[in-house]
Amino acid sequence: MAYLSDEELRRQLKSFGFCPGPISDSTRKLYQNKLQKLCSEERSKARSYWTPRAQKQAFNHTEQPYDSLRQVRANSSSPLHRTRSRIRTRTRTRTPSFQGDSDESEEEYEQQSWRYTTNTEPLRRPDWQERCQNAARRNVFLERQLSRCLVACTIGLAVLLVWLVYVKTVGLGQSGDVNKNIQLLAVDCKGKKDSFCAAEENRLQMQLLSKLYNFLAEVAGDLLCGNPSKLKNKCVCLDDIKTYFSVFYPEYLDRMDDSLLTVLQSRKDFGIRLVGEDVNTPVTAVEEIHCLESTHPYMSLWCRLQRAVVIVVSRLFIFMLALLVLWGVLVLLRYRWKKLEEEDQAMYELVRKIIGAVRDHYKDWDQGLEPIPYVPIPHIRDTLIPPQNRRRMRGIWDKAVEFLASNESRIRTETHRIAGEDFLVWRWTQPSEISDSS
Amino acid sequence: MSSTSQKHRDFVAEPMGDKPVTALSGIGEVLGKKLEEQGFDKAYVVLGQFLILRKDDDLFIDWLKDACGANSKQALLCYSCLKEWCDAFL
Repeated sequence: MAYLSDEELRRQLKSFGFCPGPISDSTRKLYQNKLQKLCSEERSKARSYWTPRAQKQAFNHTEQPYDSLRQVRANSSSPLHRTRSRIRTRTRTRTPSFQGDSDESEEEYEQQSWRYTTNTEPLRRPDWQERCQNAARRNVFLERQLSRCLVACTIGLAVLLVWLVYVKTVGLGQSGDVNKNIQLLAVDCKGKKDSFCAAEENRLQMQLLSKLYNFLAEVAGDLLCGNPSKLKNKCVCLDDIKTYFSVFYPEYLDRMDDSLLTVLQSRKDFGIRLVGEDVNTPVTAVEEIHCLESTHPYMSLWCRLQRAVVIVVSRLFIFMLALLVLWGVLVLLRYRWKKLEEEDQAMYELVRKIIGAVRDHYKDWDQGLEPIPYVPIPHIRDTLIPPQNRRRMRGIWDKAVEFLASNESRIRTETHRIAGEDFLVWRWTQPSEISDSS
Repeated sequence: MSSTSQKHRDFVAEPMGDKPVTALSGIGEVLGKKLEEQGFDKAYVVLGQFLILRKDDDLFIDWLKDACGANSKQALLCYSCLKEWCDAFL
């Protein structure tokens, strides 16, 4: 690369989108170094994989180290831009003479020049607008992610809830085992003691027990599900049971004691619990039985559903609380971001007004209406903000002043003595009338 | 905008005429002498070099560092001084 002729050097620099001045003894080495730098940058960019977002962020970030350089460049941004657009049109008119390879280099040149202008030339819109938009975009993106996450969690938990309710509902329903124990064949038999009649007797007892079971289950279910008949205890007194049976099933009444004995002696689960006078001691004889209660209360579907929901909700209480807290946090965050954005907007509006005011002051001075070319900062503040707002907007004003000091290149902050008092002043430094972005 | 030095303001305030190269912002006694040895004895000669490099910042700063051993800060000061002068008078 060190032995390129001047023409070749110029051509290669142009292919990267960089337009060199005259190549003489003093400038040749500089342009060679520049070409080397551009080549190595090209190579490293081609190697690494950048997403469009990362690229844009990188463009924004590579500006940072050259902060001071950028300020200086900002002073001269427009003339630079004008020369570049002139060069572009010049290369276009040359296409007829160098058909093949200048087409290619023109495309490459356009790509490179676009990249180069965004890299070295300051952004056409003011920096702060771009930064503001980026921050807003980032906020919106985060917000969207958080919302999506919460919606997914909510849906998942809702599905879980429904499934648990279903499981509990089925679990609280009737189990078939107890009923199977009670159903046997139907035969007529009375007083005989042979095995068939014993079986028959057994069957009748089972039927009695089945009815007893249903009755007790209903009583227990009523008690659990709202107690419409105002019962105090699901354990029903033996006398009450006998009364009930004498009314509804008189044919079974004489078998009551035998059935109870069967229940007592049997190891199978009949779903009926025999309770003596003392609740805790187990019953051993029929005479001790004081009341009966059901171990499988019969509840309607609606009642079972309600109970299931209550149980599941109480168990999932903690999760739901956490979910509510997260929603609350999201709402708070959104409110806070909105507030911050509003403040930022107010600040930018103020900055715009300040720039206008300082420029107008300069124009007045230019026309001879003002004695000094710079204007004290407190005077601008008092001009723009009415007295009743000054205390309220102090924070925004300070932020605006700080912003101007660091981001506005056409206004320079100086210290001067005016009428015997030291002031920080702003001076408008852009002498020519260049069209303004704001 | 960060505040500029008095030297910068003085240079930019009027046409440079025959001012010596040490009148440029960022160029002191030592750097001035080195530049004079290379033939850049007046500010307008440095201006000439600046213009030949098409007012490009990277190139001019590189050249200045190379020519007289200025550091980045001094070279940047010189560049901004000349740039502003050109904006005002050229």
